[in-house]
Amino acid sequence: MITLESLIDLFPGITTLFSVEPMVAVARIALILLGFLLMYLGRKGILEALIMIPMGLGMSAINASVMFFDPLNSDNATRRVGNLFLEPQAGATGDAIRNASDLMTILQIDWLQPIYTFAFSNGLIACFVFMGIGSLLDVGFVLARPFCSMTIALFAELGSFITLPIAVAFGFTIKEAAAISTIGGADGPMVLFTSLKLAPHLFVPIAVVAYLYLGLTYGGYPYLVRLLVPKRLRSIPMSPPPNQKIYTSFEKMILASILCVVLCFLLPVAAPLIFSLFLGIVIRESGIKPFQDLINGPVLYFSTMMLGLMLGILCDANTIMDPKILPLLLLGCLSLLFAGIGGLLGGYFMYFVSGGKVNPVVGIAGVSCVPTTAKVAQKVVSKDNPSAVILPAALGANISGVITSAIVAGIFCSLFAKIVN
Amino acid sequence: MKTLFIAFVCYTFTAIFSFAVAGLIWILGKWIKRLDLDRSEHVDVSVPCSNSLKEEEQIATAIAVAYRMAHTPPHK
Repeated sequence: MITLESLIDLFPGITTLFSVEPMVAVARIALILLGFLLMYLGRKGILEALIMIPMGLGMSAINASVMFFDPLNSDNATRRVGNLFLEPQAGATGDAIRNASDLMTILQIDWLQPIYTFAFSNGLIACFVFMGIGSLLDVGFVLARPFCSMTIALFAELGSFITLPIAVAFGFTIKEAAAISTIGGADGPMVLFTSLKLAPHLFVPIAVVAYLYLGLTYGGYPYLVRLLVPKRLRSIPMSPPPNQKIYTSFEKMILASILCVVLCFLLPVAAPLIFSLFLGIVIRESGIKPFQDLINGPVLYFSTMMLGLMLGILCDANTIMDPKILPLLLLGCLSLLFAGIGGLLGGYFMYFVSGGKVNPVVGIAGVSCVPTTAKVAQKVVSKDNPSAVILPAALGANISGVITSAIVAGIFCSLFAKIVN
Repeated sequence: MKTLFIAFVCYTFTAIFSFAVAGLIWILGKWIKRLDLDRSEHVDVSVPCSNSLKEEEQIATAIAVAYRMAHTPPHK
């Protein structure tokens, strides 16, 4: 017998809008529209298209495809809403046996759960992205100016360290604050990794906020640079350092291998990411073409697409309406703002130390969002002086930014991981 | 104040590590140049993975020749 209820359930995506609190329903519609906006801005090149297009579609789809669904029978009294994409909290109860059972059930139902459980929530995707990024990096840029690049990167880390006490003042524990403040390092994989180690319960909101803002840096940082650096200084051309040596790929490979082992030795906590990054660099310099093609093609782009998709899927209204999201949005924004200002301060510092030979705009590339911030630096400079090429120096600061972010992640994880609260 | 101090200590550690790494890169850069590795630069490790039939045949022939030489009894 067909009842009115079963007729209504024909379109659960719409029906569920009326079965939840009005605020959640409004948030669902707003997130569907936000998803379309992110896709549009990605397509227009205002935001990072590689992340924003899959993320935007994922965000819209997950908020549209809500239905009455409770595979775990967690609450028989009411009609619980869910989806067939993934359940981020599956297996997050205190009971280990129930966790395993719940997780197995969800893995057999939700189509993206295997990727979330076996690749996203354990940081594997972050490592794959780092391998791909490593295969695009040329350590020769760091070798040209190691101290200059590292000083700029160190200044750019100010964002993380200024946000740490602010986050504690907002009521977060020191571990949560450390996980949140790594957003200032602007290194997506590093943020995923640190939040998993220090604040797994905040992993989803931190990851979403971090990548949302990392996408915005491409559009926002040029304004910050123009605001803080006058046109006269933005137009300074940069020549290669005197007596610059040309390194062969074999030499770069040896250097990267030694550096990888030394950094793993110093910071075992961040070793998976450090290893992944340097594996990419070593493969790039080794001349093994099939591996190069694999890592900087399928591995990098598949991981990036899945990362964007996962982040979009995690943006369902219930996650975004979490009361902890609002301070996270504010802290993430502050963290990246301080990181940008810090990086530019580093650029100014090197400008004065070098006697005006370093363009201060290079400082923004110290924020280790590879290679976005280096591209931003070159883009801003090219507008004022089309003949000025600062990309090699910017990429040097960018790569150093990745190294300092790994150092910060290692220090935070080593110092705070054993704190109880 | 306590958290500010912790942040300052963490930043100091980061600075020490970062400059140590910069120093290491600088020293390694100088050291590697002295090794004069250019002589071995011609070794192309991608050859064994090549899809080129001709290269594969050359490698197979080289291995076969080397094997025969190793197993041929010395002339009396």
